[in-house]
Amino acid sequence: MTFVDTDKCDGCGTCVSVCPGNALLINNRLTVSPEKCVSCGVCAKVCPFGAIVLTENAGLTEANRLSGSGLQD
Amino acid sequence: MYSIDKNYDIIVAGSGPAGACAAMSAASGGRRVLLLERKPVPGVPVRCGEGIGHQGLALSFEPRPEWIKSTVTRARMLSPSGIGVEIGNVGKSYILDRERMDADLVKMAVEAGAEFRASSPAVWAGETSSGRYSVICSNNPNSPTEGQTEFEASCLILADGVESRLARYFGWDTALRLEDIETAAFARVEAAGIEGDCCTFYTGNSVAPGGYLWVFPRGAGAANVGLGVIGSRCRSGLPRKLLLDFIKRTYPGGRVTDLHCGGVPVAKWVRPLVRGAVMLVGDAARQVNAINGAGLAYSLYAGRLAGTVAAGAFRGDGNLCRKALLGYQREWAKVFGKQQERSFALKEFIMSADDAFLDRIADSLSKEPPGKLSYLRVFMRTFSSRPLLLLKAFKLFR
Repeated sequence: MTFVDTDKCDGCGTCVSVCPGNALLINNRLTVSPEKCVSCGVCAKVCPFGAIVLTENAGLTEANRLSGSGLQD
Repeated sequence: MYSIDKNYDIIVAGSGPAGACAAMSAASGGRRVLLLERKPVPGVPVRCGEGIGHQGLALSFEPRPEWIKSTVTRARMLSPSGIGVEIGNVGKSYILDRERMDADLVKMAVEAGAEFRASSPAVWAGETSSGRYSVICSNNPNSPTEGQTEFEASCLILADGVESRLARYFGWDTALRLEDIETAAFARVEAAGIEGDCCTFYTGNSVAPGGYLWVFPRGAGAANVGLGVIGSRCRSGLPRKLLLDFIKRTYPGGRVTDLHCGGVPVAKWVRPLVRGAVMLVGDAARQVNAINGAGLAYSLYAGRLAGTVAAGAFRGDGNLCRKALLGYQREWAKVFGKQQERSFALKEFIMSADDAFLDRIADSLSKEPPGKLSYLRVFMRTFSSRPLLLLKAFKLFR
C-alpha cells in the first residue's frame, strides 16, 4: 500500500509517469487509488522529494483516498 | 454539482508550451478550442532548466526580449574528479523566463480564440457513444470525484506532460521504464561568483548518477541549478538531497529561493502519435532529446504542428476527417523523429560511461583550445575514444 506525505509532495507527477497500473492521480496533491495500486514501489523509488512511503497495511489517510466511484475506467 | 459542455471542436489537455501552442494554432484555424490546465497559474512552478538554443526557439517563435533572462555564449563541463573543459563555441543560447513565456503562450492562445480554464484537472477521458470525446475535470482540488465538469469535443490533443496519464484511457501504454526517466530537482540559487554568460555542467556518480547537474545563469549572481538522476539508479528523495548537498558545497552562503522537482522523459517518442482523433504532444508524447532532456523546442514545434493539422482536418460542414490527423505524425517523423530516435539510442551508450571514462575524456579535451570546442566536437571526441561505440554510433546515423 502506498502512502503519500502530502507535506513533502510537490505535485510534480514523476510517480504518475512510471506507475504501471495508472493508480496515481495528481489533483491538488497526489492521490492513490487503492484498488489499482499493486504496491510495486516504483513511485516511491523515483520520487525526487521522498514523499511516498510504502506501508504494510492500508496507511492511507482520508485525504489521500480515492473513493473509486468517480474514476471510471 | 455536475455540468456538461459539448460545445467544442478540440479540447487540449495541459497548457504547457506544447498544449498552449496546439490551442493557439487550432484556434487560429477557426476551431472552437478549450484549453484545460490543472494548476491555478500556467507555468508555475517552473520545472525546467530553462535553457534553449536560439535555433530551437526561433523555429517556432521570434525570441522576445522579455522571455530571455540571459544569453549564454560559453559552457564549461566538469568531470567527476573536477577536470574542467571550456567550450567556447556553444552557439547562441538563452536562459528563459519560463514563467513569463508560458503565461504569454497561453495569452496568445486566448487571443487566437481559445477558451482557457485554469484549476481544471482532467481526471478522466474517453470516447462517447456518438464517436466524440469526453473529458471530465474536477473542480474540487481536494477530491477528484466532487464538483465535476464534463466537456465534449470531436478531437483531443493530450499535452499532460511527463505523466502522460490521459493517453492511457485510449490504449497507449505510456508508463515509463525506470531507464527512460530522469528524476530531477530544480532550484533557484543566488550566490556570488555565478557568471552571467556561462553554463556549467557537472557529471559523475556522486553528483548525479546516470544524469548531470546544470548551472544555468539568470544573469550574474543568480542561476537555475538542477540535476537529473536516472530512474533506475534513483531512490526515494535522492535528487533533492543531492541538489541541496551540491549547493551547500559549491555556494556556501548562497541562498536557495525556490526548490521544486519533476520528471524528465528520456524515452523514444510515442508511436503512434494519433489514435482515432486523439493526438499526443510534447512530454506526453516523449518528444524530448534523450541525451540532455531538452524538450522545449520540440514541444513548441509539435504543439503548433498538431494544432494546425487538427484545425485543418475539419471539413467545411464542421465534420472531422480523422485520416487527415495522421499528417501530424508524418510531419513530426520527417522533421524531428529520426533526430529524436538517435538521441535515444546514444543515451543508452552514454549511460554506460563510468566516472573513470568521463575523467579520461575530460583530460584529453582540456588540452584543446576552448575556442575550437563545440558540443558536437566534445561529443564526437567522446565516441572516437571508444571505437566500439563509434561503430555503433555510425550505424545509428546511417
